[in-house]
Amino acid sequence: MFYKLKWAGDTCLNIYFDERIDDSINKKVIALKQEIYRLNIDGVISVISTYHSVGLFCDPIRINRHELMRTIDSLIRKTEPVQHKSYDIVEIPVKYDGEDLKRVALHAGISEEEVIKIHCSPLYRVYMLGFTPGFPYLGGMDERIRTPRLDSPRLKVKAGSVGIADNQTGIYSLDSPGGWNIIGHTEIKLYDLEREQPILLKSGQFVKFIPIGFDLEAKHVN
Amino acid sequence: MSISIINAGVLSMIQDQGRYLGMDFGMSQSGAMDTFASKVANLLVGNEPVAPVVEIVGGIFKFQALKGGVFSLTGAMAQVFINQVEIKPWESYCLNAGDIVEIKNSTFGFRNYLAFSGEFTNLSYVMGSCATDLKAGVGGLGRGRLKAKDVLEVDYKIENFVKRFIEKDLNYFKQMNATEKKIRVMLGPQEDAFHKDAINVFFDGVYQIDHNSDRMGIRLTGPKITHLDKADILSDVIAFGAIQISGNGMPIVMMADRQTTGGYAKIGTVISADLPIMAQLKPGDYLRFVQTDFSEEACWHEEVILNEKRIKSSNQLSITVDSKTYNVLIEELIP
Repeated sequence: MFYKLKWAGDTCLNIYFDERIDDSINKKVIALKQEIYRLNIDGVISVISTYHSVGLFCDPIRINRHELMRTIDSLIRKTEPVQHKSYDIVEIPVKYDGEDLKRVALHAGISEEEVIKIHCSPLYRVYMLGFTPGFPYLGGMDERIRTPRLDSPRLKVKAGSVGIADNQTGIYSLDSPGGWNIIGHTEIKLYDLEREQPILLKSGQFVKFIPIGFDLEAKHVN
Repeated sequence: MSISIINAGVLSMIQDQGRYLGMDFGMSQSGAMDTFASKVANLLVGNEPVAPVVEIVGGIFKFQALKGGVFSLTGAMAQVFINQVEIKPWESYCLNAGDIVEIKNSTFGFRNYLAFSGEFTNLSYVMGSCATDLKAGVGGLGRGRLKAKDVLEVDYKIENFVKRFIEKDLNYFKQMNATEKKIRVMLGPQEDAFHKDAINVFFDGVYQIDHNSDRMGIRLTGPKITHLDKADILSDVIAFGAIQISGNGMPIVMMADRQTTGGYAKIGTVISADLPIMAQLKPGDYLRFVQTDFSEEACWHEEVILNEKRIKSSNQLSITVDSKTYNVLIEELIP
């Protein structure tokens, strides 16, 4: 697998694989991140993975730059992509009552029920977390319900709102302004300070949307 | 020791060196913007350099010591008073119960750091850090920014007071006084997204700090920088000091409260030794980016080493008369 090491300043070492959204690249990247954590390298303070890259935050005084890069090089060659023994699935119950459900349906030229069926049928891979605490970048959304962002973003979208922006779907983890098409809401908190582990999701998990009060087999929405 | 806040300035928050354990989960790094001033504030009062501090921006910050202790104030040059008697920043001082400290009129800089000798005992920790992140609703006393009537509890071990100060012969202090700050930048990680001419413009131009700047990013206006093609990349990690070029060709230097990951091309990254200088820039200030690389690394390290050669103890006596402690500085008079 092609990769390159690139420093961002003197504190952040990036490992870049091919710049694309790809399951095997993402599995490799998550496995690498876990291995780096396990090694507990002196001077490496934090490790973050994205779709296709890993960023290591370092203390520039404590780190031995050349030694670190040699360690990473050999680690990349040795690390196997993360294997799922069973899929680690998190179910998210959703009430598909979003303000923009109609807009998405109109744009796709299908009924609202069909939008719901299409949206909740895949198992969505969590490629990475970012943007706000606990916000998942989900992959695998069906092209048929791809919808451009709103022309004017809303000043406030509530946490728990489920939305679509172009070919991306996700759930707001904090109240924030946003331009996503909101198709539903969930009571599940992706970020909850009352929980011992405030963040619900992890990269490498899968999300399954479960519609509430909607019979997938019936012709009409309840 | 405990201190009661009388005035909390425009924005004051508890910060430490950052919420590193949360960054893979979308939590911002947060932490002190000026890590040099915050570390020195701690060392001056005998704390570990990474202990929590109070970061102050703007207005008047005033507090009363409810019990005795030791404090220091670093960062922007400011007027500091103990019971209305002016003292100097970047030095440690003894406080008695009832003493009132007032900090105002920051010039030559933008942020101040207040450290107290000992350990805070009433801070709220999430993912191993008490750094305040207003968006995520974490840190500090668990209630966001500090406000009047907030009380900070410090476990202070009473011992012989040591008067400490710092030699100000460093690049950090030179830049504080300069009208045009010199900020050293390493190219990358996406310098390939820019034309060679654009890179020359970036290192040649003088940029001014925009009033829209905050703890998330310092926005600059100046010569426009154009992308070769598109500005988008597949999301990667954003370093502290990474420089994004926005759609309108203006640089934004990403700081403590930045999002952890992002999809804009980054032309370069400010070196860690110059991040404290960035943190002290105020709207209207000017800067120029200077290109550097790892060959100059030894020089950067030399500038930020905080050892006994830098942090000095002076000829200081602590005399207690009638249960009141006095700071006595011994100076030789040259005949």
